[in-house]
Amino acid sequence: MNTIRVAFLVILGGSVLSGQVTSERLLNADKEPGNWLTYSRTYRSNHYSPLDQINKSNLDDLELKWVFQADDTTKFQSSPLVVDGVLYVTHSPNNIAAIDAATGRVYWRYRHAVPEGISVCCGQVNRGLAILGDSLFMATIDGRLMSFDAKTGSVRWDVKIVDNKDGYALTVAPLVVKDKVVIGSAGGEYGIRGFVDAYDAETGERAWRFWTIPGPGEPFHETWEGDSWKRGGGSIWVTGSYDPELDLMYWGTGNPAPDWNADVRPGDNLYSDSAIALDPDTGELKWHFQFTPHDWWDWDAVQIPVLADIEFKGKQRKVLLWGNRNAFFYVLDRETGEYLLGKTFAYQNWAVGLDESGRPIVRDGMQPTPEGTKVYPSVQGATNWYAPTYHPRTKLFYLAVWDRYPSTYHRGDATYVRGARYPGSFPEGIYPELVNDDETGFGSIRALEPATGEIKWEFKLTGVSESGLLSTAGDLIFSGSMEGHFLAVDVDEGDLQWRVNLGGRMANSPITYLANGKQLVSVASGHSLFTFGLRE
Amino acid sequence: MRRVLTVVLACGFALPLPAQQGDIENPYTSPEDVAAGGRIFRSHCAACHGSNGTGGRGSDLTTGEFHHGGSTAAIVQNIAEGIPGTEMPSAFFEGRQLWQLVAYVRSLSERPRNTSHSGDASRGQSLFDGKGGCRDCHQINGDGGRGGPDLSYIGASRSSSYLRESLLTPGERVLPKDYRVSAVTKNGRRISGKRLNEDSFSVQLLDGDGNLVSLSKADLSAYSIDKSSSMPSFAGALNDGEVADVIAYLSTLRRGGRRQ
Repeated sequence: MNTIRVAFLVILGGSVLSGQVTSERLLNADKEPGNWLTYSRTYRSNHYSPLDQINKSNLDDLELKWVFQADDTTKFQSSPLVVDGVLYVTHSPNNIAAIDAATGRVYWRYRHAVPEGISVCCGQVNRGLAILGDSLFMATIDGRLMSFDAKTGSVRWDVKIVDNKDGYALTVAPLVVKDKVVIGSAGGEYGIRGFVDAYDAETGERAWRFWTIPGPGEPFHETWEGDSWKRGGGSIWVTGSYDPELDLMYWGTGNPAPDWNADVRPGDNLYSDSAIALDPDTGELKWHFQFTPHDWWDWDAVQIPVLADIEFKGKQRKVLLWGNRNAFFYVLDRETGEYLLGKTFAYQNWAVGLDESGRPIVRDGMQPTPEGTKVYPSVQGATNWYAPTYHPRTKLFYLAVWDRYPSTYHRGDATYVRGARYPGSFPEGIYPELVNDDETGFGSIRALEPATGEIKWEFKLTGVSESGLLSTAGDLIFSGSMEGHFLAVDVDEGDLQWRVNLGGRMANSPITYLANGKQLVSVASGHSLFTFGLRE
Repeated sequence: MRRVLTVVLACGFALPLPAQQGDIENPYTSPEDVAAGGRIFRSHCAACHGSNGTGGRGSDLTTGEFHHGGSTAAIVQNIAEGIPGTEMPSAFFEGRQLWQLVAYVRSLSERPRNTSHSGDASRGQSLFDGKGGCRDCHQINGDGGRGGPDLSYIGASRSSSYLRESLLTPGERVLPKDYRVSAVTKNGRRISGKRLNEDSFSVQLLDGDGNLVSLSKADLSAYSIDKSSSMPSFAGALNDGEVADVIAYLSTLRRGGRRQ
């Protein structure tokens, strides 16, 4: 009898403890290959998994296990979390599903009532959740940060942070660091003043705010003229990274506003289009690096900061690897922000090159004109927000690339109206099919050597990709394409290993995890989440 | 439609009363709104639709006929969302600015305009079917060849100046949807035709015999895309008056004129 009681208590204890994600577990997320505890799996944002059950030797046995169908038709940009066998995923506009990762059956759903009349530049999307303890956190397009009971979906707290009438909308997956939930706001096309905020995970009380556009009296306020800083953009819409040893958090900031008429904002427009390093306890800025000063082309620096420790010019360095929308690949010292390397990874014609400090030397005549100026890369950039990956064995950095796609950028009226779009015209060639050029652009997955920026291999796609990359210890990179193909290539050579046509555009990044000890891979295509595993 | 309602409500107004069954009313139509819309139009739309709205690469907006819907709701949607399958992108505006743009676009067709074409449409139709040989490659309302673009609604989507350019210098602008491809399979079969779709691993085409063909790129030993136009220039082949006649005919080709 006692034995039975003990066993029962052990089981009960196990079930109580399971799903409790302490900050210690988040710090050591890399030691939990079966889980996916934060946006990019670990704070280093390598988008790499040590799982190797699925590998080049058994891809013929990879089969569909289950499909979760979202009941909306907006782009599926959310990246799921997986915690001890439960997969949590959001879909548009701010709905959550808690799913049995093994079977795809739903435990609970939360449906968010979004008020009518919400303005978001690029779809009512959400990019995912964060977790601490047994609380989930989601930022909403109507300007709320919310906490949920991970076991039931009940709302624990709900804090209104920003007003969409001012152009703000929250689309980012939060980042939990220690006891705080960190987010920022989209709205770079509406003339917002961007920020990074931290909230107490228990109460939802704001701990600090860092304005990405400095106000009067703050450093670098002089990089704005007049009142242009008040609507200077610098949005935050992709999740940052964290280095616990340096105790620094890294975020990429969005474009300055208005996007395509920079005449109204003379100066460098800091900290738009920048990498910023913040103290997670106070929000204090430790360093910044601006990729595209005084941006004319809408090249947000919203890429996921990838942390790696590499040998650079004979010395071991703690670095950030950053493939930027402006077509340059950067290596930055993540302790100091020192610029170490910058090299193009796709065709561009806007800059002659970078100077010794990494500042671009802009080619004459590249600014938008009323008639239009053709510039490479396109407004979508040579890459964008979707996850790159760093593989610890190959020590290569991989990213999805749009090459040889131009846009014709126009400069137009830039009258600010509260809550209205504030773009200062818009470019032609937003979508590849509209580009009619002698050269046809293409998509590709490219492998870069971090110390040199040299392209080691590429896997070409006919169409472009909005899918991020997942690399694994199975020596595979999983990715997708707008064409609807979900595919796996070899990490060493880039050779195609496996593919399946899922039919819908992929606009998120695949993840992998264990369910009942078996490796699964999930990816969204169209409006559904598809999950693959090995045939048994 | 849900998007349209969203756009309307984004203005902070209650849904306006419909102007006609199923339509919505523009709450911003004052002369100041039209002027504001005109400023947006000139900086954002004129590159394709011409500075005075009479078209170019984009359609002529002064005729009062809107190929993709003339209701206010349809115009709002087409500006806010773009028109799938065409070169019209979403205009990146909403709320008051979008309404002002709609007001300006509406005003374009309320102005006096010269509606006469210098050519004769009926002569143009004869030339199209006869001397020009156009129907060999172009369908109108399901009748004609499949090699070139369907022209059933070309009058609504292209301006006269664009049509003239297409007749005289057809190679100047070839859209990706009109590219032709040639392929040789590994067992020596040659296939060519109009490219309907292509991805990283396959291509779908319409061959010269009217067959829909899907090819796996892995099965091909050669594959090439021809971005030139297969249409001959009619400069010289038709005199100036005949060119004007053909343009006049093409300009009549709109949804309203379709046979039932």
